[in-house]
Amino acid sequence: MFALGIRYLMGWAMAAADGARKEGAEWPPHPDRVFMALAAAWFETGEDPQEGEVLQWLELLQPPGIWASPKEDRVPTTSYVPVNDTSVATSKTVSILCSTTEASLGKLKEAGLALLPEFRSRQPRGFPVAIPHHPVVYLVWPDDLPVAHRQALETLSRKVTSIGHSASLVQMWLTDEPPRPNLVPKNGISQHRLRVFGPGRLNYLRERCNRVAVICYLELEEQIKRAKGRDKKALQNLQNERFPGGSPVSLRPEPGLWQGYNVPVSAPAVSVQGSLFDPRLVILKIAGRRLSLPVTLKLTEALRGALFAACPDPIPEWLSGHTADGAPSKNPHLGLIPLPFAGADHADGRLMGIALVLPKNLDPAEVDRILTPWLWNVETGEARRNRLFDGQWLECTVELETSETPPTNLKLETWTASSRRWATVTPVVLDRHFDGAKKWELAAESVKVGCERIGLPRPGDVLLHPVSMIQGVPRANEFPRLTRKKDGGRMHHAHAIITFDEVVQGPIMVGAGRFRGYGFCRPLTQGGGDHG
Amino acid sequence: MEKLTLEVLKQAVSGTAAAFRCVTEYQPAGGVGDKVFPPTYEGGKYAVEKRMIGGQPVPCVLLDSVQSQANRMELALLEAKKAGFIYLPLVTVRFEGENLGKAFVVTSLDAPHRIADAILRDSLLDGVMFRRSELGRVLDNADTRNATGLFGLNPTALVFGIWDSTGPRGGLGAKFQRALVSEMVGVNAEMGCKTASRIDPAQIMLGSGPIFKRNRQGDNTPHWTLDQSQAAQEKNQPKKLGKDGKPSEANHGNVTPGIVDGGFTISYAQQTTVLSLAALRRLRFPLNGSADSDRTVDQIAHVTLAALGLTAATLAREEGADLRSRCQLFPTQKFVWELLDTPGEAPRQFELSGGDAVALLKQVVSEAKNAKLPWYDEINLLPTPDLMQLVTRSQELAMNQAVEGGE
Repeated sequence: MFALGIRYLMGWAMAAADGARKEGAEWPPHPDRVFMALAAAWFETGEDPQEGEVLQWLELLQPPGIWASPKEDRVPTTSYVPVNDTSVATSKTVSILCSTTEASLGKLKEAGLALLPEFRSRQPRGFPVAIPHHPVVYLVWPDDLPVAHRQALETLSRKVTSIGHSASLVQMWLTDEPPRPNLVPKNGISQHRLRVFGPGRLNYLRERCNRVAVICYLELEEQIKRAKGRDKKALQNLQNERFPGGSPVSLRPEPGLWQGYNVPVSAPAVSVQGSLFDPRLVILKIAGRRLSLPVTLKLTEALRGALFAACPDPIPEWLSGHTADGAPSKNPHLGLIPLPFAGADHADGRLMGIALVLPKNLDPAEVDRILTPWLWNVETGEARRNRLFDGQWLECTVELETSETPPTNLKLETWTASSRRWATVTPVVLDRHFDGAKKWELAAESVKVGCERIGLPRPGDVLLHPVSMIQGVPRANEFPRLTRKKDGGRMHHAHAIITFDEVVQGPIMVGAGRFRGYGFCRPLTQGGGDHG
Repeated sequence: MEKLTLEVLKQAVSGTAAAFRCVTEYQPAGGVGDKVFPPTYEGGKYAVEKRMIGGQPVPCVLLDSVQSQANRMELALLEAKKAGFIYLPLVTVRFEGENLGKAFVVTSLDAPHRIADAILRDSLLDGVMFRRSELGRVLDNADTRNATGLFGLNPTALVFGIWDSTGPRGGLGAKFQRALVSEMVGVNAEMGCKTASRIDPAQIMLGSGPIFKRNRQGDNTPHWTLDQSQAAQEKNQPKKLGKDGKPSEANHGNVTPGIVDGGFTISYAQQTTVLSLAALRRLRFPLNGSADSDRTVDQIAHVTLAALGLTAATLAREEGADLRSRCQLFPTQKFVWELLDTPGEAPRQFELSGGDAVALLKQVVSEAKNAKLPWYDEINLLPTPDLMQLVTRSQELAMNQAVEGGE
């Protein structure tokens, strides 16, 4: 294992996360940005061959893990900086202008007065700043650093002076004892996407800059301007010969590769049984009009529609829940669950987010292919803000939650932590109507069977009730009923407290409406502890 | 505490240390708890942020930006040069002459883009456009591997950074990253209110208008009038003064008292200045047109630039921090420079006064000259006749407008 330590000497990092817009600050520094800082140090300090070799060796490694602390953002502001491309008009223009009574300050500025600092025009510019809680970041590779590369990497890292804006001064060093990364590369859907580098990046940077050719062309251009007669002609011929395609260009590098990153999942100390669903929920935060829990069905319907619309044909079975011939799938498929403000004092049940719940054991590459273009702008690397509209009144936007410190109700563990007791935040839909003196026992029994159906052990106890045990959740009768497909009959539902004999891991969605957001449970920990 | 001597500086620059850093606390000149006014940005916004201090997120506000601090440090050097304390290369453009109402000077220490600024580019050195002159051409070929010419002409550009983006090489022109970065923030910043009001001693009321722009101004009349018959005409109507002819357009009348958000109280202000030695070490100084540089010469140049940066930062600190109206601060700590070397180890600390910094700079400049590094004095440029003509005409216009009570 080896790592590059990076200390931000001013305590902050100035680098734009959004390219030329410069409205948001990038944190943590993307591995490709760090690589470009190393490459810049190499290009500008004489291109030592051994340092070049170590850069090309780095290109071949898998993307590094990252240790970085959470950050705060400086409120983005716009500064106005003086331009430097002003020049004086021709002598004739200046003379004519200055000799007339028409001369106004504006016209004088246009003619060249704007050269003076007090009249210089200014352009808006943003300087986005992220202030990490700890000014040191580590890029950690699990690979062994060959002895032959150690000295070169140590020397090159010392030559790196800034990452991002030139004011973002850093100290970089090589270390063998970094902290354990808190962001690791992950294939498939991930909470973060960072730019990484790959084979050929160093050469790409050189070719993209095209420095030697551009400077050679411009120098010839200068010589041609000054030369006369035969000399001028000879130089023009030389320029045409060397640059038959005209003026070469120097371009900014495009982002290289994008790589998903997630917080590493530590294996639980003891094996905990979970359902058929993957506990790594894809959490989307909701913005726009305030929505409350009882609109869950409408919201999940709108989200399902948006996902289907964006999905390339054919829509896979794990996404649609239907086989190619239109029959209902017998395999677990995508579920959508509401994430309300619940389980706390003053909780009011408003929807803060919605999560995609994927069945376990899906091919990450397949999930990535289908969902990543909808979740991320693959060009800018920013999370997409997708609009949801039900065609009537429900309208909002959803966007992947990427914050390092999301609100409690948008945290994975709030909904998937292990617990013996669970309570619903949306009512469990009973798969049939129960009558008679034992109707509640029979209904509870059907919920127990429902738990087994999603791969959980049979609960020891199920208690159905019109009121949820989770603070802020509306009563069951405030939620619209699901209707049976075959006869349009309204299906009964109720809140539930489900107690297992052992600890189980979420997510738990049980009952007939489980793929549409009903029967969604939260670990019952109110009042402290597990109540178990 | 140890003094920051030339020997220390040489060891630091030739070793592996990343930077010198100085963190200084300040209090408002009005005393602890007095309100300060940070800079406002577009839309009247303040640059507020949270910083982790003592393990807690603490609200802070930007009091002086990196760019502004750089300007202050350059001006401190300019003042020191004018006062004869330091001997520093400087390129100046002098706007002076009989026809000019107000003479002024622009230098490479106060031009927005330093030595690469358009105003220097378009001025004359001995009758030749500066960038076509032998001295000016050093910028065309300057880069990190060949910084000798720029060192002699404008060494501050190597400390504060420069990008010659409008020279013959366009965007690939000489580009040197800044080695000195400084910033000031207010810690534990609580936004307050500011009030605005004015009681006119003459008690001129809003209803006493409208007032009009006077047609002809004499020595015994103001530039405005209540008499429509004496008003300037616009589209066959008497022209109101300003937008709507309120007495306040002529600075008369009351201002309605108002309260808006503005100003902050802070626990203290913190200035952080970092001089990156790694950035200086990148530079090479070949002599006599050689492709390679001598390691000893490079190190002398690095030490000179480090001393220049330390001098700029120390002199600017000693001048105090009168940042803007109602934002004057004074330091409550000595200026202690930390040498940031091996990560994880406590940095060595040094004291440096302005006087000591100036002495250090003199000593090391002398060594640089002995090593045959260039170090010019003042290079005087003249504006082109066309630019002078524009400036003269602009001053005439400004004067006429002032006489007419200009709008």
